[in-house]
Amino acid sequence: MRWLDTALDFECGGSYKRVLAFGIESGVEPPHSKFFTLHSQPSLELEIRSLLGTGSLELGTYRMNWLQTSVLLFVAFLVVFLQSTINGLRFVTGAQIDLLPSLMVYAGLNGGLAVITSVAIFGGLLHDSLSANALGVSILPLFAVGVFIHYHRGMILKEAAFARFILGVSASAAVPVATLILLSNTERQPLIGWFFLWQLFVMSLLGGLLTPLWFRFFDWATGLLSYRVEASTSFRPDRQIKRGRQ
Amino acid sequence: MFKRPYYIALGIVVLVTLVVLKLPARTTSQLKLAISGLFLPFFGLATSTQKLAEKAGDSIAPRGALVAQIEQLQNENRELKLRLAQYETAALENGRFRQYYGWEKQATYKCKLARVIGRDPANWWRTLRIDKGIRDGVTTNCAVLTPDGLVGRVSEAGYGQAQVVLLGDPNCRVAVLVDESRDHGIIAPASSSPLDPALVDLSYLPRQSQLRAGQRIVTSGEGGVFPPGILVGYLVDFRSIGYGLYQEARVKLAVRMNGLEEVFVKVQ
Repeated sequence: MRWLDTALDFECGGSYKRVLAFGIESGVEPPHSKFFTLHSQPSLELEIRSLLGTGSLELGTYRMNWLQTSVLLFVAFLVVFLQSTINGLRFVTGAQIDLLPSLMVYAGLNGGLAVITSVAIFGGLLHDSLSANALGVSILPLFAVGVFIHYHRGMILKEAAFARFILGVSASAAVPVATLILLSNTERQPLIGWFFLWQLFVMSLLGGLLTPLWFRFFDWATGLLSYRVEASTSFRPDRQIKRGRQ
Repeated sequence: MFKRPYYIALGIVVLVTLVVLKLPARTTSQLKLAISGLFLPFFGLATSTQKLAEKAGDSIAPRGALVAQIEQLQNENRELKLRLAQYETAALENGRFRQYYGWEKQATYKCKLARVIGRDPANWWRTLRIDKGIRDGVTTNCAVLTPDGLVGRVSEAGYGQAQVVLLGDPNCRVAVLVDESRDHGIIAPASSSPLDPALVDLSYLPRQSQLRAGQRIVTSGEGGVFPPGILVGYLVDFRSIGYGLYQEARVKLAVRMNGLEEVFVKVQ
């Protein structure tokens, strides 16, 4: 167990009768000392939410706020812009990296359905606007990847870098393939052949390698945008032994 | 299987996708340009940063090198002036002959210099974005070229930017002819080596064409999009296809597409 300062054992009902939440306790709320705020690492809090289900978001849970969602959307915007302007990799390997699928992995694991839908629509439209793709063709593949990951997030070891890498590789391979399938149903015929397998390999590998970096970056950004955790001391007035007559 | 919110989100996404995909082509094009307009400040910023870096590089260039470069350019300029005077004499002579025989005058075209600001983020298209649009006289289907040869055509023109589809993209087919033998053909994406952006296919050449490696391939002017006589590339090799009915050749493009920074757009 990491980041352990306060362990809290409580009943939650459903399939999980009892869970152990852990984090930093801060601010006991009088008069009910039973209720207090539990701050923990965002990724660990997600574990708690996945155990508790959507009905118990109040205790020790983490939800992406509007600021974090805005940051995610802005990063999606920047990513599309950089994909269009930075072409070194394209000239060397013949393949341009697509960073939106790996961003969707982060959104799928850490955000709600609203966040996934926003990133898929916003990112997809931006990507298609700078490309010769039919406008809107990238939305559905991005959304499908995000929802799939979101639906199975309880079963994914999202703390493990290897799991993030595998998710990144899979997402970066699935999105272009699905986009091409959709494109083949439009009147535009893309330039594909055996070389596309090489492009897919490059895109998947680099997408996978960059996925854990997204998590690090957004954890850092979340730290910047949220309240700083109050440093707690081991001194607790309610545990003090009082001597003499009261 | 899924909970209700999943179905709601899926419904929204499918609806948005279908609506956008089913819009009329003109509306889609306008919508695309409007959305890509969001990037304009960033493209501007990137261009200014690049210019600034170039300026900084120029300021640290040694004086001796600059003087040598000026001298070289002055010599080149004198030579070009001399050649221009010769061409002007030839053009006047040509004009007199045309008048004498009653031939139509060859249309001249104006060109506008544009900077390449971005490329297609998808791997399966060959397009780029330039910083000139309708306000500069650039419209859809304007030819895009460099002093080395043909680059492609404008596929979508916005107010201050345009998308150019490059030679070798499935959406850019050009009517060309072999300069030497005047045999006509069509430039299409390379089927055998699509990884190499410098190679394209020249198809529908007559079976009796006398082809050899190194021959110049120029635009024929048929179709009206590209003016005639613009260099496209040089013939690399050829083969007989369609049971000997016609020939197909590979052409190495005259323009290095990966190194494009500035292009000329033929404006009306």
